[in-house]
Amino acid sequence: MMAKVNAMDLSSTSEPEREALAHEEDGGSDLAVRAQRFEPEALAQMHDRYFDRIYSFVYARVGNHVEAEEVTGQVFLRALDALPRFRGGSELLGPWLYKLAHEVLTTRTANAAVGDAPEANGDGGDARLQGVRAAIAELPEPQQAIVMLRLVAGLDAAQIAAVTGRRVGAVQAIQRRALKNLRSIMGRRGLL
Amino acid sequence: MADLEDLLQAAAWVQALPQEVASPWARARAKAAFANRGGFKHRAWVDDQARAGGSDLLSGMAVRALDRRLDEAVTRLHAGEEAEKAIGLSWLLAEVQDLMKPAGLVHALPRRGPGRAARVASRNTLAAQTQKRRRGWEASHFRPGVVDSFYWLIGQGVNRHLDHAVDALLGTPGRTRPGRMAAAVAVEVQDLMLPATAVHDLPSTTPAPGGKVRGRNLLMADAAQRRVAWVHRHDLPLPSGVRRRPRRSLGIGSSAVLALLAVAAVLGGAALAGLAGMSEPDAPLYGVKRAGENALLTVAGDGVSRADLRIQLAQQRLREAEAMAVLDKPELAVPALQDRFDALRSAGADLASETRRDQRWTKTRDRFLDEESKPASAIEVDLQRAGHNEDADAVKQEIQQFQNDRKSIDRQLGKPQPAPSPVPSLPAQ
Repeated sequence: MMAKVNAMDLSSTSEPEREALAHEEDGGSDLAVRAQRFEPEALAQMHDRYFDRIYSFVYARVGNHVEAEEVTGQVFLRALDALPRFRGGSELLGPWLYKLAHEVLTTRTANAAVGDAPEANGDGGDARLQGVRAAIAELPEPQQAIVMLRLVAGLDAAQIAAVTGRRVGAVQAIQRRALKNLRSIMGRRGLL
Repeated sequence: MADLEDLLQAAAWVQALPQEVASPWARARAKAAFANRGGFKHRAWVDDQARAGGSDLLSGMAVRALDRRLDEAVTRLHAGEEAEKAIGLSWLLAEVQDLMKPAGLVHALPRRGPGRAARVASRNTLAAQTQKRRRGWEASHFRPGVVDSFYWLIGQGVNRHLDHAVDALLGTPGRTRPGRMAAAVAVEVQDLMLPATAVHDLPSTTPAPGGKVRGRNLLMADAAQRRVAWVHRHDLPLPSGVRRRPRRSLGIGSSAVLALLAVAAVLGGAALAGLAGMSEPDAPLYGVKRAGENALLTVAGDGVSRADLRIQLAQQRLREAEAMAVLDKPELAVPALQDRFDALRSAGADLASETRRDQRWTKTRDRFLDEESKPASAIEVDLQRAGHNEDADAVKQEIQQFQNDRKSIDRQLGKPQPAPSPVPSLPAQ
């Protein structure tokens, strides 16, 4: 079974499936519990497992390699602060890190100077992509979080509900409202 | 107006049904389909209108009224009236306009200036007037929480279908499959999937080479400090493999003495264990704890047992020294570290003087080697960070001194050298 799991291409699987496979790779041990004890091996394992995914998530939002690397580093440092308060098993560790990544991005966006020029080190020059990112930024906070976690991170409504403390129905309702708003904003910007 | 066209199309479809042969069940189905196609469009439209007026408070009530009217319109259609007349569109628009008046009033209620009491009074007046005008409306409908819940219930079906469509976009089959989708719902879902696809198509990529390593180093550096703090807050169980061996039986006389000593040791150990949790070097009972430790050392059997105990005490001293450094008490941290090194030196000497080097001795020796290689530089860092440079220097000197001492101890104990890496053999010609 393990050989089969290792042999599979994880990049072609969905986020919930990846979490399940990763849990199997743990051999049943609870990575989250060990990480909460700041065990170096567990933290290294957590970092190695999730770094690429969080980086990819952050890059989709910022479109810049240097910034994506910096933000991803901050996400894991923030995770150290927040780990003692983490409630859930290993299967929620990934969704929880995505949520932290979104929080770091939101704080960063709020602190950033308006009109920062996009850097050339990425896809910052693509006007359409910048437009989509700006449209997401115009959404109210809970809607922004759910759009990012659902459509970019690929989490399902149940996972989002678990890490945001909402009900699944509420997540679905916010998703609909967010997409309605996004459609309206993107229509106004000529992106649809 | 797209809504009107849709509604008329739906009406025409209902009218085209063979009325004479249609069973009540077929009529009911046709009615439901009409309500879905036409009714939903209008619900959405009323919602938008209400929101444009700044409030969706009345959308639930408007939908109820519209549903009732649509029901009547279907009956009229079956009775053979013309579609537009049967729908009574002009009446419908008038109804909506009428509903928007109280919506505007509610929206225009002062929010901050006059205070809460004035707002409540104003809202109640409006509710009473509206209730009088529209039988069936209740004041409770004006409570935003209630109306929001109602609004949520209305949209629930669409939400589920939309979520399912997003699952399909992401390539993840949902846990539950929603039921059949009405045409109007399909239109809305299709429309909302446009921005969803645009967001999903945002490019993602893998980190540059070296980025992951840099991130990992950063994380592990920070984690090391936290691990130390965590260990100090929690009592860790003894490492596996450090289980005491049962003693071999001796003569009756010496057994009795040993039994007494063992009882004393157990009692002392229990007392010590009780105190260990709370007694740090800055605690009043710390002296008792140290006295208990000395007593245990006195009753320890041979050199290996004594060395084993000293190793445990050295572990304890390291934790105390780290705790004192974190608590900004350098005057206690430095002596604790000195005691640790003394305990390790004594343990090394005990082991070196032991002539019988059996498996038990080897295990204790290995534990000693592990313990002596544990870094204590975190204490120096903590003291430096707190501005105690002199104490930090003292710690540094202690560490260096012990590093010099351990070379000769390791030599006496016969520290195993790491095996050389195998030389790759040349491929056979």
